[in-house]
Amino acid sequence: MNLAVIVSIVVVCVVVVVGVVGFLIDRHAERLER
Amino acid sequence: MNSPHLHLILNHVPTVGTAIALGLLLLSLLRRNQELTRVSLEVFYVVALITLPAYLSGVATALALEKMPDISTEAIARHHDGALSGFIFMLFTGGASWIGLWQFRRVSRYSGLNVAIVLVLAVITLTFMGGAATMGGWIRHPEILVADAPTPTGSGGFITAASVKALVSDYTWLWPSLEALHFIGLWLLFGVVLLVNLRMLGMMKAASFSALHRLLPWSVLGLGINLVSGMMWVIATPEQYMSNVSFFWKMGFLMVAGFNLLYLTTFDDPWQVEAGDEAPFRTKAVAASAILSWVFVMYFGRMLPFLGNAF
Repeated sequence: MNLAVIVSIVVVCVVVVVGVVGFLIDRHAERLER
Repeated sequence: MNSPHLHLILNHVPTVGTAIALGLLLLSLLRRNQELTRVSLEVFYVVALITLPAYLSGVATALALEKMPDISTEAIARHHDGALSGFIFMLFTGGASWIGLWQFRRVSRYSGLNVAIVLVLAVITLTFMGGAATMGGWIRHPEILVADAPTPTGSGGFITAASVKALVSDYTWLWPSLEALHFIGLWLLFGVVLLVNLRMLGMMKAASFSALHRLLPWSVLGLGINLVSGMMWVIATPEQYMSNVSFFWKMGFLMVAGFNLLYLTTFDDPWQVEAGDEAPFRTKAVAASAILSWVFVMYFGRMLPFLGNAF
């Protein structure tokens, strides 16, 4: 597979995982504060 | 002072520091004292921060020691593997402690789950760090080995530095992926830190500190991305970083910035800044030093090939 395609897939996957973790931490904080 | 000297000074911090923090955490649970829990989590965070230069100075020491006669490179590699394993768990322990501190600041109570996670991670970290410390002693002090004991063999941890190095060199997509992620982690980290610190310096006064404080986990996630990507480069090509003056300064400013993050997370002064308030002078000074520190971290990172010998 083309190098650029592999790099793009890896970067998008990591960013999605980090985004989900950040979102969950934020939701958890909101629940605690309510 | 050179790297081996620095390593001799710092190498006890991960082991002794984790033991002290763990003791404080257990004591706080026995006494049901939340303030003591907070102190123990702060100590975990600080120990995790200092573990970074302890580990890096160890990598530099390994490069220096390997050239000396009568030094076992297998013993060095075993110690490195143990230290790397301990360092990975130390980062998780420090990260979980930071999350606990951040939550406590917001709701004035701890999550039992968070404390349990920190406790388990700390025990695992201490186990690996204790093993790494012992294996480090074997390099220059074989007299501490029990008489007639079999010569230690195999890896000193659950991961080996050689396997990380092989991973980075064997898969051509990994290095550019890490570069892209390092930049993404950087803007995630600096974007949030800049916003929070500019508020402390007197901008965006309509926002309270507590509103911006909620964004801080995003900066820690960015820091996590950058620590993982940066460490993989260092392990893969240590010779590019360990005698590089630019890397030395980058790590120095990273330490300052790391302590500033703890101040923003837990201390009372910034937390009491409501919408419309002016932050106290001490908070402004910390905010200014935080912004400068991160700018210098980026500057010296970019200067690695120009001020130093990288790439």
